[in-house]
Amino acid sequence: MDLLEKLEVLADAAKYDVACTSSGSDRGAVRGKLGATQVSGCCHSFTADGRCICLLKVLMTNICVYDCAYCSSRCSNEITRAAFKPRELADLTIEFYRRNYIEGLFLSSGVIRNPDYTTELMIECFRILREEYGFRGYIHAKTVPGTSPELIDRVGRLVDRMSVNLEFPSRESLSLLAPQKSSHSILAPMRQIAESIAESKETRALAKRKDTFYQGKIQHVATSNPFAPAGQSTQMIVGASPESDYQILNLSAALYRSLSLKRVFFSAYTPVNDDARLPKTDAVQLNREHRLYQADWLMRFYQFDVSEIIDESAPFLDPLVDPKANWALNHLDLFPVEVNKAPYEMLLRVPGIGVKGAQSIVRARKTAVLRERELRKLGVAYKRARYFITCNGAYAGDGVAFTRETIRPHLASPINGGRHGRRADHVLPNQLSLFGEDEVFASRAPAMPSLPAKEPARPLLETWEVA
Amino acid sequence: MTNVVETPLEQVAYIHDGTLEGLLTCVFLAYERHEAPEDIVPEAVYEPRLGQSALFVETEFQKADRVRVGVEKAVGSDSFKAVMRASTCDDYDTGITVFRFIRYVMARPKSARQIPVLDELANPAVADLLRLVKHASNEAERMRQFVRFSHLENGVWYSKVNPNASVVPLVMGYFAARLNDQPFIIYDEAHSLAGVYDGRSWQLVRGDALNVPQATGHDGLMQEAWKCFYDALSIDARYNPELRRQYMPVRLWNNLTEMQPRQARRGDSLAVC
Ligand code: SF4
Repeated sequence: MDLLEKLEVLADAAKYDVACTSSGSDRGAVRGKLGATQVSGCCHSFTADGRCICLLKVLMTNICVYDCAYCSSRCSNEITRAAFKPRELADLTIEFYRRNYIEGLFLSSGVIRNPDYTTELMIECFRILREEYGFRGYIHAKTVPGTSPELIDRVGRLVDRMSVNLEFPSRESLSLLAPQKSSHSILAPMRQIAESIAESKETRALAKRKDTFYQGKIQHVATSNPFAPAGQSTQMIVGASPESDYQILNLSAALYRSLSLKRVFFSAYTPVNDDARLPKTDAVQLNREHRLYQADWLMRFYQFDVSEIIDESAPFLDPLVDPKANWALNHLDLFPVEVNKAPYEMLLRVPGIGVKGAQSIVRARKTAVLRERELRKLGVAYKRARYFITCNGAYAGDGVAFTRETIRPHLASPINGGRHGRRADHVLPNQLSLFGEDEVFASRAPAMPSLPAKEPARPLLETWEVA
Repeated sequence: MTNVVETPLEQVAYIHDGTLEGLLTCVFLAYERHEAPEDIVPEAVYEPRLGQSALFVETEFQKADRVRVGVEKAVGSDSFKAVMRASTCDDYDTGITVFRFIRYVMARPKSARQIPVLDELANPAVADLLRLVKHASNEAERMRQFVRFSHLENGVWYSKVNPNASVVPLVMGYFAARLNDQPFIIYDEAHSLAGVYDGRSWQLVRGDALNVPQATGHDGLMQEAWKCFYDALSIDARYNPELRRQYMPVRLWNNLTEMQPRQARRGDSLAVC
C-alpha cells in the first residue's frame, strides 16, 4: 500500500473525531528548531462541511481488537486496514508543517494487539518528532483507554494536549455501545492526566520565580518537560443514546470543575454501522450539537453556571432560542441595563453583546457616551441587544412591550446550517443563529475564566464511574 | 522634485511611492508646509479630483523616522504599531486616515493621556484608523492560515499570495521564527512585493519579474498527499459549502493547494483521490 492510500484510509477513519484545535499552548520559536505554537491556535483549511483543519488528524492504525457499536474500525467490520510506521508518520508531519498545511499532529489509534502496544507505537512517533527533529509544533494525543500509567506519563511529556474520549454521557450507554471499554479505564487516565498537569504547573511556576533578574535577557524555554501544557479535553457522542441535554451539560460542568478540562467536545452521532443497539436514523442532530456548544460557551466564557442554563424540569435546550437569550428572557427583572454604567459581568449577559463587545464598551465609555450609533460600531448586535439595554437612560426597545412573550419572537433567528447535509431538522428550515454575528465562535477566545466552585462535582463523576 | 518648502497649497493631494516611509514623509511635510492635504495616496492609484493640485513627495527616511519618534513619544509604541498595520491597507483613504490620526494624537492635551488613545473607540480619528487596523489584521491572519509553500529545486520554499492589503511585512517575522532555517519567499502578486527570508534574516523586495524554478518531484507527491488528506476529512452528512466559503473566501482558493485539481493516481481511472 503506498503512502497516499494509507493516508486516505487512516484520515478517513479519524474524521469523526471532532476535536481539532491547536490552541492552549504557547511555545515561542527557538533558533535551530522547527516550529512554534500560539495560544489561539490557527486553522489552516476548512473541509467541505466547514470544519477547521489545523492538525494532521490521523489514526496510527485502524486495526482494532475492540468492537464498539458506532465505529467503522471495529473488528467485526470488513474494511481495508492500514498502519503507519512511526517514522513514516513523523516524516509526513514535518513535510506538511514546512508547507504551512498544519500546526502539528493529532494522533489517535485503533487498539492493535493491546492498549500498551498501541501507545508505544504512538510514543515512538512523538519521540522522533520531538527529539530527532526538534519539532516545536503542536501535538495532540488521544489516549487509548486501558493504557498503563507509566506510558501515559511518557506521552504527557511529549505532547501539548491529551484527551481520553468519554464516548457517551452515561456509564450505561458506554457499556452497551463500547463493551470492551470500562468507565474506569476512561476515568482513571483522565484523573492521572489532570493531576500530572496540576503538578507540572506548580513546579514550573517555582522554576520561573527563580530568575526574575534580567528576565529580559534570559530566553525562557520551559526547562523540564511540562506535562501536556495545553491541557486535557474529551469528547462524547450526542444522539446515539438517550441522555438529555441536562445530563450532558451537568456532566461537562463537572468535568471542567473537577478535572480542569480545557474543552468538552460534542459530536452529533453520524450513523456508519447497521447495529440493533443504535438508533435507526439517517439524520444527524447538528442543531442539537450546536445548542450544546452554545451552552458550553456560556459556561466557559460568559461566567454562567450550568444551573442557570438548564434545569431538570426542561431537560432539553430550546431549539428556537439560544441559551443566552433564553436566560435573559427568564430574567427580565434584571433588565434593561444601562450600557454606560453596567458592570462588565452584566454586559456579558445581554443578548447581542459578546465578550469582545462588552470589552469594547467598557473601554469606549471612558471617553464617550454610548448610543445606538456607537454601539453598532463597537460590534454589538444592536437589533438583539436593544430590548435589554438603555442608552443614557433611554430604553431602546423600539416600542416592543417589555415582556417575555413580546420580545421572544424578536430573538429567534435561524441557525445557519446551510442547505445541504443531513440535518435532523431539515423540515424546519433555517432555525436560529448563535448569539448574533458578533458572537460567532471567535477563533481568538479570551482566557477561560475559572468556574465558580459550587457543589463539589465529584459525586456526579463517581456515578459515571461506579455502578 | 525635492521637498522644498513653499507657500501652502489649498486642495492638494500628496503622492508617495506606496511605502510606509513614503506615507510618513508626507505627514512630516504636511506639518512643515502648514498644509492640510485632501488626499495622501500612492502614485499607482492616484486619481486627481477636480481643482486639486498634486505634490509628488520623495521618500526621506529621516523625516519618516521623526514622525515615528513623535507618535511613539506622544502616545506609545502600540499606537505606532497600529499606524504600521493600518498603512498596509489598499483603501484610497488609508493615507489621509493615518494623517488625521497622527494629527489628533500630536494635538491631544496632556490631561487626556491617562487613557490610551486607542481606547477612544467613539472618536472618528481613532475609529477610522482602527477600522483599517482590523482589516489589515484579518488579512494578516488569513495569510498565516492560508500561505502554502512548495519546495523548489533550488532549495527555497515558495508561496504566492494575492491579499487585499499589503500585509507580507506583517507576517514575515512570524514565518521566519517558526520555520527557522528554512529559506522562503512569500510573493504578493497583487502588490508586487516579495518577502525574502534566507534562513537568518528577512527583507522586502519590490518587483514584478520573479523567476521561479520548478518545484521538486517530492513536493508534487506531498501536495497530492495533502489533497488526499483534505478530501478524506469531509463528512458528507455535514456537507455545508456556504460555511466553508465563509471561513475560507473563494478569492483565496487560487493559491490553495487543496483547492487545485487532483492528479490521476496509479490504478485510478478517475482523477480523484
Ligand atoms: S477502540 Fe472502539 S472506537 Fe476505538 S477504533 Fe476500536 S472499535 Fe473504534
